[in-house]
Amino acid sequence: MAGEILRGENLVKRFGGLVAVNEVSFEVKKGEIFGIIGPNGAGKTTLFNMISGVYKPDEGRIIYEGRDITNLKPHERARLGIARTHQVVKPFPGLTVLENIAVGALFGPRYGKISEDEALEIAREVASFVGLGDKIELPAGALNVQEKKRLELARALAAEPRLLLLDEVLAGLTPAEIDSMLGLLRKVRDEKGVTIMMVEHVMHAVMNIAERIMVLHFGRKIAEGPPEEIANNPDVIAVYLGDPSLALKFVKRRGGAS
Amino acid sequence: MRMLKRPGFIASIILILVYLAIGIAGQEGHLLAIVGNAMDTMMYIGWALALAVIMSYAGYVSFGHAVFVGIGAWMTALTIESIMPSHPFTISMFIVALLLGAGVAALVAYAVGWVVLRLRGAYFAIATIGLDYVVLYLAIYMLSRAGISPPMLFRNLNLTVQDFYWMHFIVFIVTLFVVYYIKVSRFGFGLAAIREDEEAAEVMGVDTFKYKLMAFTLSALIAGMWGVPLAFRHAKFDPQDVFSLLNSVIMIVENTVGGLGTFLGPIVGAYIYYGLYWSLLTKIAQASFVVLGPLIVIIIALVPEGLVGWLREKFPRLRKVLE
Repeated sequence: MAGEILRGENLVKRFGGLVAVNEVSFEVKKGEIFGIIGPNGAGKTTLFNMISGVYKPDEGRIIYEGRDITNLKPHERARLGIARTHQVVKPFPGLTVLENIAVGALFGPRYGKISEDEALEIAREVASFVGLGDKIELPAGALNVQEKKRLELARALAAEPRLLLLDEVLAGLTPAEIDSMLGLLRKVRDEKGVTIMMVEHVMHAVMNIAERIMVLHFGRKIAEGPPEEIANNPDVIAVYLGDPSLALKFVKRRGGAS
Repeated sequence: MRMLKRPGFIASIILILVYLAIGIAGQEGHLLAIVGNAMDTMMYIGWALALAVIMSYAGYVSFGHAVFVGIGAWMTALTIESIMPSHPFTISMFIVALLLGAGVAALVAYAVGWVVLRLRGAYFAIATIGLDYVVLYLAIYMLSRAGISPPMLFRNLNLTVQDFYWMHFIVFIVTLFVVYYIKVSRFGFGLAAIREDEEAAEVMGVDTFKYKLMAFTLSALIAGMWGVPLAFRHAKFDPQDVFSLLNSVIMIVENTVGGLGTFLGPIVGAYIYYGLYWSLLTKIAQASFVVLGPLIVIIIALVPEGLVGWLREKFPRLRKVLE
């Protein structure tokens, strides 16, 4: 049995009077795809920011590979093998696609162990892996939304992370693009053994790909379990899915789409 | 090595050979005027590249960067008049001044950077202007305590134009290689990431604070070196002159006109600036800055990405050459 890679213990984050994340605990197993869903303002991105180190939790601890990383800076966590993408894409617009990805390789867990040339070589491989092989010399600012999302993913992958945090990588993509992105994510997990945590709004997609899902609502965790269970959970239906028959549809698509 | 085949490196070698040739040919008396221009351009390129490390590579505008040139000049004064007061000029005097000028400039930058590099954008720019004035008045105060009313004139060291030229040349070589190496190294990648998106850079594993601090310190170190040949050449330390905000503005203009984010940009910018300055100075003398200012505004309005940046955008094939 694969062990745990990440654990959040009673995480709390407040912004002024607003409690964005309220006593959330969770466990992610090595090699799984773990989905996080919830309505707008549920605290999903805040949770990600705490895991990647952009925010420090006001309470609680984050344990990664058995080590307390609560007080580490973002770059220190990156070097331990935690990589992420951003909900609002953050490419380095003036650098080429290749250079963007090379930054990921140079400064990830292999920091100090590989040369600039090797990083560019890795970047080339990763670029074709995510389907950007013919765009490597373009400045990242010239890419379209879909390509920028792939670039974010490529930068994160070039680091060879052990834990990959994906913040709405599917948002804004067409159904066909979503299918190809889901295929890519499965490949990442199956071929590279990367544990994936994904925040997602595209419901059927996350139901389709995730093995377990955690549901947040106003900063609190209201449910956790396999997709079928989540889709049938009355609390989840009430706050998020709204319509039970719609929820059932999601579960059915899960069988068909993969 | 990949680095040695790259255009920036080749351009550096060509520049060094050209200036070497001018230096050798300049032994002939009638070429003295060209030697003076060559020295000026080396210095302007040096200033531009010094600031480029923090401004063009990392995206942080240091508005009072002349302070480090001034510190270099001050340390030269100290070397000539206090540390080696009765020595005739030797190469070791130049080296002591260089080590001291660069070292003190770097130390000051490190200490100040440690505080202000936690601030972003405009705050950082303002902080370095403040630093410039603090050091300016400190220098004036220290001189007056020693009973000197500025400018402080150096004793006669019997130096020739050729001596000044080779001083510039040595600092020029060091500057080109250091600034070019930073650009193509992992450090340069990290700085570029910071310039483009600091938060993303940090999340991807770039120790942004450390890198900014290193960039600012190195940038100051190079600027500090340039204060040394300047002081020897003018045979004086004039605080109002070397700490002048105008010098800081020149560095920024060179980088902006040439194009940010590249190694060749600041060099091209330095030539453009100096070319305009020199041709105006010889024609309309004192009025030159009146014309130069608007001219630069027009250039920046027409090609906001700088000349090298504009060429890179216009002719994507040139991207590999104009690094």
